[in-house]
Amino acid sequence: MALLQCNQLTKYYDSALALDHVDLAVEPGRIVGLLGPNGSGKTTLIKIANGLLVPSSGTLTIDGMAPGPDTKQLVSYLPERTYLSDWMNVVQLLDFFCDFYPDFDRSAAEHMLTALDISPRLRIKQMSKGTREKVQLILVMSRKARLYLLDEPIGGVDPATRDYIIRTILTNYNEQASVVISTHLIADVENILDDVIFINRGRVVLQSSVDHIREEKNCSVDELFREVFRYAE
Amino acid sequence: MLSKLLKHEFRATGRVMLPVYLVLFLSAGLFCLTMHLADNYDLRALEIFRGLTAFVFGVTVIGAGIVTLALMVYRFYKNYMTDEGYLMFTLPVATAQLIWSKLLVALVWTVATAAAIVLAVLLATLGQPFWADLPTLRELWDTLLYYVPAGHVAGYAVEFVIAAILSSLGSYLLFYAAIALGHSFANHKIFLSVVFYIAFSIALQTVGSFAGIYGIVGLAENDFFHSPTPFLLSHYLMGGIAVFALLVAVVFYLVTYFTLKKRLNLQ
Repeated sequence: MALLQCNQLTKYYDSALALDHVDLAVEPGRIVGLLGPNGSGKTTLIKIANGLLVPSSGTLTIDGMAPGPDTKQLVSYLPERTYLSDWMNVVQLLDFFCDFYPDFDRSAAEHMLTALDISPRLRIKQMSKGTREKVQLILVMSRKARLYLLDEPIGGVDPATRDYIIRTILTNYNEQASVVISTHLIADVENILDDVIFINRGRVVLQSSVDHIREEKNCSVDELFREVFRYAE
Repeated sequence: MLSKLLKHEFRATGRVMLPVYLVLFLSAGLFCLTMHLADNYDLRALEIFRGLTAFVFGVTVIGAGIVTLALMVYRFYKNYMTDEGYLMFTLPVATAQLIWSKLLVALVWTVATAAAIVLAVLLATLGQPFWADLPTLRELWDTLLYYVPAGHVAGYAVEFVIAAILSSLGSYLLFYAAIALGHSFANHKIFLSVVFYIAFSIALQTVGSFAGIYGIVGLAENDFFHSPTPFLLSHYLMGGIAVFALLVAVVFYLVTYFTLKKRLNLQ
């Protein structure tokens, strides 16, 4: 059974159509790139999967269940903004994640914090934007979740941290888990992706394995993306 | 999971509320001290100082009340309706638990602030002539018990506590419902929250006035209550107030619940 499944998923914001009858499936053990230009519906899709939005019609299921407390236990979500309370320090955040997520691996998180030279006594308020993003990613990736939904995980950080984050994603997820990475920085993540989903104006325009793209179309995902989303001249 | 939410909410609010109580007791102590000094030493400076500490104490008492209410409402807004909501609404907890955790913590701090203010006033007036008049209070109490049976007095006390708790919950839920609804729209979220708060308040006042008038008239006219003792009538009145407060709390709870569940729309 697919870990994440959408059937005819549609979402309107007032009268604006954000997702238009989306059908897609993410199988266990895959790293999937959810790729599309800004405003294509990537974040809307991920927010519905996390129960932050209710679909207008159609369904989205995670391990066969509609989003709710049970699916939230399976999903580790990195939003495209900082959601940490700025008065908390790193230790308090680790306590928080330990309390609410039984699958949170505290020692893994502490190990990564040390590697990135982030002091446990530092408050979120005292951190730079980049450091906050790192802390957030460490917390999210330290869970032994079934599904990781990462919305623009590398958008705001420098290339060295970007490499570390991509390595972190690769080394922290297990064989049965899936990772969905939404981004428009395709070249950076291309090498770790198993599958790609191209999404544009709320519609899925392509769902394919990366190997298939390389063999059949004889090009990289980045090249294909530029091809598919080329603006008319 | 509710206990964990409560634990973290107490942690988040305690770091503000405990210092507030500390300031409250410090200003009460300072006021008490300057009162005694001014009483015992005839110095103009001490008189001025007494006036000043009295003012400061008054401000801290009012401030403690305002901070309690404002913080509890702000926590709901900040923790659920801003970026922090991305974390809170993706925790593996039910929407009802999210509401109850904020509500119960708000109730506890409200009671604690009321208790702290009473204690602070007692501390501030320690050793004042007021205390010498305590036997008079005792006499008043005895007189009350002479005219009103003890069972009724206990009943009123229980009814008062229940009505106070329910209307306190209702007041917070009115804020929560307005904030949740206002933030379910795409734009002007805070402005709409204020509009909803005002609209709900007006509706509540209107319904409350009608319920009050018809309730009292009904009590007075209805044969079912013919010749009830005044004590019993008062119980009906207190009970009516408690039931109304309960209905208000339930309505605004449901508005909050379904808005967060079906219309959540974080920026």
